[in-house]
Amino acid sequence: MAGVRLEHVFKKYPGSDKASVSDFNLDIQDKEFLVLVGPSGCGKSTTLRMIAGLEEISEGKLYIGDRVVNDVAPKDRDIAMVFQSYALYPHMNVYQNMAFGLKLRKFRKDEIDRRVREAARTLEIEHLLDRKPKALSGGQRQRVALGRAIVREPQVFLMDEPLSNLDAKLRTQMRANISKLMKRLETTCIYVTHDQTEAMTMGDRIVVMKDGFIQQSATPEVLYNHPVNLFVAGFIGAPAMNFLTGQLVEEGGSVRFRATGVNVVIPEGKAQLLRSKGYIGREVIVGVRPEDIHEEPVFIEASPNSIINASIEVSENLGHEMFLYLNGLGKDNVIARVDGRSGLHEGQNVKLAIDMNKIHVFDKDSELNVFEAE
Amino acid sequence: MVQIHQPPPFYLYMQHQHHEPLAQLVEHLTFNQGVEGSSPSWLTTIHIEADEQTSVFLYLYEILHNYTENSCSYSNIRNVVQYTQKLRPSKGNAMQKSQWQQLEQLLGDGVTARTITVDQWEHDGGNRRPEPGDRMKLDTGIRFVTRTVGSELHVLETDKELTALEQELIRLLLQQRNGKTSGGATELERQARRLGEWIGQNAASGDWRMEVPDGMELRSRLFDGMIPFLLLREQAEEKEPSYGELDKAIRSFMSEDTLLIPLRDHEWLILSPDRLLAEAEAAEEDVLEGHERKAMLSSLGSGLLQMVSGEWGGECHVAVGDPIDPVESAVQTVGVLRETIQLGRKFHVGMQVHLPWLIHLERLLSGIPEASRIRFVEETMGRPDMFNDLETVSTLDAFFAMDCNVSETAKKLFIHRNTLLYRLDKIKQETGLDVRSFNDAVLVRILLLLYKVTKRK
Repeated sequence: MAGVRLEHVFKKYPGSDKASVSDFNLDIQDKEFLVLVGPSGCGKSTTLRMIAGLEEISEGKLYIGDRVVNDVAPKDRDIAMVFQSYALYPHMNVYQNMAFGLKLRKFRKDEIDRRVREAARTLEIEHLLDRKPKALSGGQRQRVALGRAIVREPQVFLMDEPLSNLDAKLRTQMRANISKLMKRLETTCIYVTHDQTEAMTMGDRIVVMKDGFIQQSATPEVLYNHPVNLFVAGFIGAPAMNFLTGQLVEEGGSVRFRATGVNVVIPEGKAQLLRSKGYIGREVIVGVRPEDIHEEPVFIEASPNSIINASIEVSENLGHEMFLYLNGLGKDNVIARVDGRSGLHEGQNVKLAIDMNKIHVFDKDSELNVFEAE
Repeated sequence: MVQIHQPPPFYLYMQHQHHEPLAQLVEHLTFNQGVEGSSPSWLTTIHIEADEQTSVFLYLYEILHNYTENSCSYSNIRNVVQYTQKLRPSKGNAMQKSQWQQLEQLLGDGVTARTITVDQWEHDGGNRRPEPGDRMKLDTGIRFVTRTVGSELHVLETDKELTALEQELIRLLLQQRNGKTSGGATELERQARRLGEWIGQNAASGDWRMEVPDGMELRSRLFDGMIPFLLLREQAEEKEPSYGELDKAIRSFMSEDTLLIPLRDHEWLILSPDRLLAEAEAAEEDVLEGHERKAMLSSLGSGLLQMVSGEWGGECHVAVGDPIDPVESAVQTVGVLRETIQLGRKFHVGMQVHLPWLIHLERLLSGIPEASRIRFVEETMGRPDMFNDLETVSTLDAFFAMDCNVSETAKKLFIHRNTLLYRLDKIKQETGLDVRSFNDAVLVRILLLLYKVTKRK
């Protein structure tokens, strides 16, 4: 097993004046499950393809273990890849698909057989070994693709959106399967996804990317609770964090945040920090997660300084929870996540309260989180 | 004393008319110097690690000098060895300037490069069907073939006196540079290259109806019902697999009777029996319908692409066509598949498996003069700058790829159906074209294709 290190890695395509991946620095620990996440075109797949050796590295160094592998062919990097388009070999049965990579590397027949059968047992596809890919369901094909990677017993697994072709139910199931499998195999895994649920549930650590740059690299908890900038705050979490643009003012010894339909008091601990950083009197962006807007009477009663009034434009009841799309707060809809049994409905005017201890304040120009900045 | 500063490991190739001395030499080297050597044969291969080189050189010189009865000078051995090492990764056909300089240095002054015809070579007394590495004596000096291009030969001539050993070493170097293995090209490779050259010439000349001539050795291995794949790899030469490596992997992947035919640098034609299609069927009694066969050909192309790029990396493109009789239509197929890759790369950046039956519209549009294209886009679409927006382009691409199916497109784009409808409505508002109606969809698809190539220029 081995860690992976990227030092000042750049990827620039010929004819393009902008780098697809810029100054990428990352140290991935041995046995770590690292997730690269970001919107389409952020450079996450390009980064993975560089690690795989499918793309040349324009600048910088890539280490697998202690070895610089910039110029090493994919087959000699001791990695195994699983892609969204898993492209099983259609003319080979499942056994042959899994065995092919080993056969090419001249493994002994009995060793190939041992590995294939062991991987098939792990993935519960032993009964499919004689079948051709055409006779398999999407989930089964995905498991074969995983099996093809597992039999290699690589130092590092690379997965690029491996679950994207599956339906929602199967995706949830496979997500758990892959997590369990990687823990069992104790192998380093680098996993690319656009799906933040996958990222949050699978990764030991998540790297959020945008425009070829790393925005933040942290554990799921840290990313969710301490996003360093507006982009990360908005990208992680579903529904996304609400953003309200308004002004911070000092009034009667406390700091207030004022925006359209909002006039709330900032808790003193946060207020002191805002004062010391000179934000009083300035426009800022306040971020509030949907679950930090409460409808419970007890909470509202206990939070007289953070009450907001709004009308419900749309309500989506998922049973155990309900999303309220609120009008009258800031420029866009504000979404609140409340109890599914709250009995609230569309068109209703509601009184809600914000948990001000959980809010984030972002600098309007730099978009950095004021509370997380050094 | 020879000064060698941390050179990488290299291979030394030696050839001698007498087997015995070299066998002894290898024994000496492997036993006394701890280097890896092949079992003694008429051609000897020795792998020497970098830090061993200086001492091995001296030792080699001493022994070789004795075995060749003083006919080989030390400096020449050293140069040839270094040259071998530098040429080894290069499989390109064009002789690079640095390599040329090295060869000049190796042979001293008086080396000239020329292009002659095969007829002239034979007329001057050279062997029939000359290959890179072949040589002939001149009145003053010697002539080597460095490259063959159809009926043309690239040769180098030197007026220097070379020993038999030096001549053999240069022959081996030139063979190597043309992609030969240590033991020289296999017969199959030589035949495949000859066929590839013939196909390439005819495809380039536009004479696509030419049949593979009877004199072509590989003709007997071509049969009706072979699936043609065109593989294009773009990668630094030193990372390219040798013919032998690639051939082995591809035969292992497809079938033993698959043929790998090198066409030009980084481009190969692969001909595989069409029974692969039957093998891909889940049940033996199934018969492939037309669309199923095409889907299967596409899957085979994707599998091939994944296998090759997974092993050797680099940017790969694969085009695959319907099964053919290569004797009759190899040239035409290469022409069509080349065009397919070219159009696929032009109109669908990011796509790596290209299918001729999916680019009819692109073929048609590529023939329209640029000025007409620009005018059409400007006149038909009020706001061509809409296509500058990546989100709009990816939405439309996905929408057309999913046959204008809203649910499937939303799924492919990982967005909510309503979000997709909102985006499509926005396009309608800004351009006046509703892609959910057939006529407008056709128009937008054409506009999008035209805009992509126009913008890229």
